[in-house]
Amino acid sequence: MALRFGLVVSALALMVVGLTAVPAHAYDLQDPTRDCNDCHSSDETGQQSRKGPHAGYTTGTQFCASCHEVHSAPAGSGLLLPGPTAKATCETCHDGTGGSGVFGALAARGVIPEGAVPPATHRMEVTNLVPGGSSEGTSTMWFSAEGLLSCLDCHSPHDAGTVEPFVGDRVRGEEDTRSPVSSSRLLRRMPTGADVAVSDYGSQWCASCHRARMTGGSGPAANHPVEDESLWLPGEYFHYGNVARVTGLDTTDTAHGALGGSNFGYVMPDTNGSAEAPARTEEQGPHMPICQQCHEDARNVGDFDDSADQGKVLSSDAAGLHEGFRPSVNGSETAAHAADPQEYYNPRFGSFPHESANEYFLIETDDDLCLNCHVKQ
Amino acid sequence: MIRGRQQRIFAALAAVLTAVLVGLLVVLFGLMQRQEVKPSEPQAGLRAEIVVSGPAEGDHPLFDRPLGAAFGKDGRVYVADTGNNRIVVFGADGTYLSSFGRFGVAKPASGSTATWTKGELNAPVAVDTDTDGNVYVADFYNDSISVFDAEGEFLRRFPDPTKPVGKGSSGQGGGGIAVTDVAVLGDRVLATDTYQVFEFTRDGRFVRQFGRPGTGPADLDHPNGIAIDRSGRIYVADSNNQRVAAFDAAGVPLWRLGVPAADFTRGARPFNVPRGVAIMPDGDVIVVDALDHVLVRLSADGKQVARYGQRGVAPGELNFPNSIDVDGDRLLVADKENNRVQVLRLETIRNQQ
Repeated sequence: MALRFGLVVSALALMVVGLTAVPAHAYDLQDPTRDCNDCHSSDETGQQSRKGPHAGYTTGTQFCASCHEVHSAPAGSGLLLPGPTAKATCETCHDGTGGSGVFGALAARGVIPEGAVPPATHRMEVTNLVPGGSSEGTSTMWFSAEGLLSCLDCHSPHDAGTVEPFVGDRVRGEEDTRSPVSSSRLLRRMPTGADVAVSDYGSQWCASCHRARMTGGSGPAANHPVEDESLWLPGEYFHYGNVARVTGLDTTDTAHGALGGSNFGYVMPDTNGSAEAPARTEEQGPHMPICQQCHEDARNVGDFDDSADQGKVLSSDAAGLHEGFRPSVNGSETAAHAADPQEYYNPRFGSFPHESANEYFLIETDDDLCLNCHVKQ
Repeated sequence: MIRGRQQRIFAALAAVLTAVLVGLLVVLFGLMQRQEVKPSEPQAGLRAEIVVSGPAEGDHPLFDRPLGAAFGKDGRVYVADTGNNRIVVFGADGTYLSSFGRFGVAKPASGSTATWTKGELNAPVAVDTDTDGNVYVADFYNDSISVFDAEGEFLRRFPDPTKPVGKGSSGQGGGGIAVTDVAVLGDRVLATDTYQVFEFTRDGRFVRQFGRPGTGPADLDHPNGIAIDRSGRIYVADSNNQRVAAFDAAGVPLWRLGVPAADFTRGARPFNVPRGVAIMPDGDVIVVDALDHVLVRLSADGKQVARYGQRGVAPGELNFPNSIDVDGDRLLVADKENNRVQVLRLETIRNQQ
């Protein structure tokens, strides 16, 4: 009899405990005093990043849920929207109306016909194929948009664990006491597929996915100009540090000598010295390329003021308003200063590596590209 | 004797536990039935009256990311169907009437060719109407405002997208304005540019400009919404500064609600990405917050009055809304990522009337 009573009481007690139990580590989505930074408080360097709408989320969970599927919302909930949510979120601003246009800028400027597919594009939320991902030529990867490539595979919207800023991309405002601004483009140090973190946006970064390009000369994934890794010192081929590029926001110096008020060392110089790309300099000459020197749009990094040691000043007059924010093809001559501003405007800027008017994202087409290195004697 | 006492103790324990269990079940059942409302969450208060996702005919029966919408003559609804480079017109009851505009490039890159002819558009991102029923379209990538009559006949465009405007603007190559929104009241036409507000007359004469890059009181950063009230006061959704700013008719700053990201502090923020702005019948200002998926109502002096709506795909819910217009007690919202526009009623408006 006592045993039966004991069993009954124990069962009732277990039921009460079961009904009142709370998961030990559940995050209380209803608690307005909690926010994401309670857990996600720092990046890899231990510094909490606060950059525009891309960091400093302290408003509580409702903010995070704008972009995130927190703990998988129930079926039918608007929060559980599928993969395209990430791109849609980015393009809420990055359609040109809130920042640089990413996709569609080439068609909008007539560079490619309306409705045409750009000759080269990283197709967000469409593909998982990686050209040059394997020595056989192509491989697939599992990306963040339910397996498909997403903006988030390369960019960290929260600026957590991002690469070093491109110090040449400098700009500051008139009467603004801040230092010249540079940007990392919120590129992750470890994009999807990376085995190790890289601090710079160089070849190693691209090779997180396009791995076969770094193995040297075998199979259909030809790796010209990396014909044979043994030609270079171990770890020194295709290295970002070998590129002549400015070393700070307030200098024209590079690790390989002064290039003037630009960052031409980062782009593939034109041996013929065209307006769009200057002749190869002595500083650039002996250094080995990185992916971006053939696969990239020309990067304008802005001039220095004649007398100042700061980056380009934005003033409230006509020229200043757009010269810093409308980079041109020619790094030494901005749209505002050019005799024909239209001629120097470059809608491709900001499009790479999202879409390109050139196949394979090459910065130049035809023989011009080859002649950058294979100089006519 | 002892056994009987043990039985009474067990019986009492069982009774207590049973009572607790029943009580818990009652509480849990009640919680399951309760409509969950978080204090910090937007309060629902939107009722969809009309929901349209496109003309439902022709080569493009559906919208492609519509960024703007406005009421027009006779209660018509004009939709800036951005991805399809056209304006789609509906009657006051949501019946499809017509479309106008097609793709044309006015500002080609070096080496490319201009294809623009009268009436063509290149990323129309916003629309507004005047008292004559004329339709003003923010033609974003063509760096100008195109004006049509109520039936879609092209009338004019301004400013000249190839020439500097005032002291300068953010149009490609320094010509025209990179227009993100347009508001018309009387003879005044105001438009937002990348860092400035430009004012024109209805026939396109430049009047003034104000704003500059930065976070100061007179600064703007990618504003994407503008409205004028009957006193002439100008309200701007200073999107990337995450605030709404009011200016007097001459562009002198009056107040701001919200702080740029650099000033983040713990606690709720009024706005995350404010995009569209309109004036309510009682003079309040209503703002679309694209990343909060809500409508935020402000008093004319910049105090938050209410927040309406919630994210979702059902009628009355919002998913990255981008613009708003008001006609009496009807609200017109471009519900961008749901690829639709909705005519909504706000219960609080009706209650006040």
